[in-house]
Amino acid sequence: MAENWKMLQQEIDAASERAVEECPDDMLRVFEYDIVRTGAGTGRLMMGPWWEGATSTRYLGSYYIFNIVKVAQDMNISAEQIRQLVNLMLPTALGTVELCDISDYARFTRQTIDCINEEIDDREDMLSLLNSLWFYGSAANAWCQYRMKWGIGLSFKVNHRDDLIYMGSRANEAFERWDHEKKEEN
Amino acid sequence: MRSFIMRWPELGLGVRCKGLDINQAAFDIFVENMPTKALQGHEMVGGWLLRDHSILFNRKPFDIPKVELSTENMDQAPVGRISFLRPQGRGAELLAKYDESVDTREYIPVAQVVPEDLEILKKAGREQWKATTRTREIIFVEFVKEDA
Repeated sequence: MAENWKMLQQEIDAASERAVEECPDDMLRVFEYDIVRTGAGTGRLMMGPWWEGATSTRYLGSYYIFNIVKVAQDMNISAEQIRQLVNLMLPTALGTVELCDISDYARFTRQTIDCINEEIDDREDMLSLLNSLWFYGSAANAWCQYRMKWGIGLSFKVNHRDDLIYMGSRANEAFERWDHEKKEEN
Repeated sequence: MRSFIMRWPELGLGVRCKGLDINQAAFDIFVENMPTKALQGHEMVGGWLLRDHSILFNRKPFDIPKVELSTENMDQAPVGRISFLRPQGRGAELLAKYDESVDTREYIPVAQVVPEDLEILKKAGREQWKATTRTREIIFVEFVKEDA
């Protein structure tokens, strides 16, 4: 059990360096091939796992883990307080990452939480491991952003004022035409 | 002159970026970690920005406290601005503004694409937009010291 966290960190760092050029398997599975082995995706609609999976991936690393490391730059934040922040902030987002079958990232995060709870007492060691996990999360996030099927969005443009005025005028036109057409009695 | 090259081998394009009068220590750490590469992405909410989610700092970790870094709002930044988001330890996100942005949040400017290369940057941005939304081609970005 001793020093498991260093082995975990080495594994995370190696995975991060691979992820610079290669899409991690879990990202490829969920965001390219639309495979979710947990049963997630109500009514077998893939949009749910895409949406929730991408969002929770982003929040877990770039917002929660990053901010824990950042706040701990204040040396008054103790190892126990870092542990509390980890247990407060990560589990919910991690649960969604797991549900959406982003399994590699989920495993790294779960094992990091376990190491911080059971093995690591030194605050700098905690931050070092969290920093490695944060960067892996950033690399994973890059790929899920890339694999996301943004082309679907080409059908749904943001309406600007001119679009709404045009739509309104056409709607008015339609009603006027209806008003002037002879109504047949049933 | 403090500068580096940002280039996209798959596109056959590259631009020269110069350091700024501010955040010079951040620029130096970035250059010290070159050559480095990342998956090139595109901002999908705030406008016409190239976005790299994971710039790896493998040689020298980023250790500058936030209070020592100057920021600017992205919508006010000039076209060609290279900015960091969340630089910390092992890496950072990087954004390259190639046209209008409506993002009013603060970012950390570190470099500026030279004026004669701005059209090349815009071309790279348009190509990446096409890849992100249509072709799904994978494009990498490389950052190298200018003498490399």
